[in-house]
Amino acid sequence: MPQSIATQSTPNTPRNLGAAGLLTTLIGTELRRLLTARKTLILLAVQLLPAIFALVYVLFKDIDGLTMFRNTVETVTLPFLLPLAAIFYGGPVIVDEMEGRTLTYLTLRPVPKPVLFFGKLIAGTISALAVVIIPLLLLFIVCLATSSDFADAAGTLGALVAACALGVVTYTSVFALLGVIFASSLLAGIVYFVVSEMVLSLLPVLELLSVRYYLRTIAGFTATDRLGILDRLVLDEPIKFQWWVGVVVTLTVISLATMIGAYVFRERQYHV
Amino acid sequence: MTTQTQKRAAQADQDLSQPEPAIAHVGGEKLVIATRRLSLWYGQVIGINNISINIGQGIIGLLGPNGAGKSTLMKVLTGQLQPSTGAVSVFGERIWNNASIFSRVGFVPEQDSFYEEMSGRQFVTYLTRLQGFSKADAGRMAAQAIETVDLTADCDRKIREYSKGMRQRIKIAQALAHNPDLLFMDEPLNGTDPVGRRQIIELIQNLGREGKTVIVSSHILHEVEQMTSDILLINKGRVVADGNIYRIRNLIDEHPHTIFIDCSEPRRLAALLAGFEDVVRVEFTAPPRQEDGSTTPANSQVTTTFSVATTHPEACYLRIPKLALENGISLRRMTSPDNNLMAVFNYLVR
Repeated sequence: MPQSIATQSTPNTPRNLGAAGLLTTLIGTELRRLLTARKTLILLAVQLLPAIFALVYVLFKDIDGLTMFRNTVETVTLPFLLPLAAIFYGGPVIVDEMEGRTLTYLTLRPVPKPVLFFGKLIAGTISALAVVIIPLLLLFIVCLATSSDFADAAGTLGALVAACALGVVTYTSVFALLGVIFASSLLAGIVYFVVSEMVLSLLPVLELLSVRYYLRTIAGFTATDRLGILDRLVLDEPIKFQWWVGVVVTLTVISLATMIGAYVFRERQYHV
Repeated sequence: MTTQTQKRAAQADQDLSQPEPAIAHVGGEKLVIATRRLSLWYGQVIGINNISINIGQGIIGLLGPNGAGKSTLMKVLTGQLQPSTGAVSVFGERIWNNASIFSRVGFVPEQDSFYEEMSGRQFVTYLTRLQGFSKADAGRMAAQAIETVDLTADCDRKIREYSKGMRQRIKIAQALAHNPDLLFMDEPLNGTDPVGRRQIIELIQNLGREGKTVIVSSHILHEVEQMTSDILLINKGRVVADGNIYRIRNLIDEHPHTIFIDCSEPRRLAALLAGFEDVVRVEFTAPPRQEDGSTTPANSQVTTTFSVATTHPEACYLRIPKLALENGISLRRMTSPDNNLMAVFNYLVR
């Protein structure tokens, strides 16, 4: 083995331990790892299914593309595909490093733990966004083929993409928080999804506790689209907010989940 | 959680400031690590128990049987675990949640875990970039560290294709690349072949000569003995001995010390030795196994060896050849299982 490292390396090599530089390194490497991971290909294939089915429909059936696009987003993308992508990228933000026993390499660098958490969360979120938004745009292009009202289509696309993007970020941060708190991020994520996003979102008033409600508000899906019957059993008319309320609530959830996640990660001991 | 953390921090400050009656010291004069009343509990099980040590510059061997608490102590010293009570300071600063210290610290973990899809070069470069170096500098430093561990030829292969020994080396490279002042190595010789082992030992010795502090945990005692004479012996979470191996060996000189003797007239020599006050036991038992695996004499039906236990080994070592010579007894071999680190280890952890 040659001489030791100290005799070889140049002394006083410049070092930048600022959070921005470290975050850039972390996010860049994580993104490369995530986007080339097998799970990304599998998820992408799943997320492309609506576009593939839509293509079959527009080829063989006389259907209004814009309505199909809205319906698909409302019934498939928002309730299922968004959480699916988020649970695969948000939950494992820290858990993958723990299970792979590589967390030690990261926590023993001059990178504050909250920066590690933010960096990995941002990389996971960008990956989830890519996996959700690209197939959504493809779906839109397919649906647009049978729609003549381009102005209306652009408005619909804007609202739905914004809702989906905010949904991805919100779910990813929530699942990342659950992953930091619980040893099994997948199980915790599924329990959260079933209880909050499937059961509570169907119940009047309690639906306000689900992220899905606010995403629907942003997307502009009306209350009657949502669930009129149960609402009318409790209230004279369903609760309805302006779209910006949905934006404020989801941004608040994202901020809280991220901050709490970073704090828990900073304080928690991991037996790797 | 905040309250608990604040309480722990306040307690830790108190622990560091209070005078400690018995602080173990190992290594050179320049203090690198200090712990005071360090304990860590895993629920009802204690991992480390009330450890107060000063670790100075140099190479330090951290020894102990499996489950002794070596890895737990390393994790506490590197800030991976927060002690239940007590405090740790590294370079005079608290280690827990103090990321800046890690610009001066390298760590070779025991576990065989990597980003398997990366090449060796990518792995070391990435982790060196997280030390705050630019891409170009990190690449250059990674290349140097890889060369140091003699892995240049294979550095562009995926880590998943590496042999156990290569994986061990790349782990060492990532810890060395940023030229740390303090290096923790948890079982660094695991999985290496004899040549690789020799190279790693030489590397550690070089680091020690350059003024680095290297804390090496191992259960391969004779190899640690080749790296350093400064050891910290722990068992059941406690420091059972610290300091220079020769000083520790003196500890056992106060207790019966066994010498195996192989001679032409064992019963006569044994009788002569039994007359001395310091000889507390004479036994005709199988001789100790030699390094080559044989015994002395080889599978003989007639026992020509016996052992004496003495409380004054220095005097006894001088006396035995003298008595043999005076009485015309041919002394073939005189060995002591106590005369190596294993004996110290076995005695102190008993």
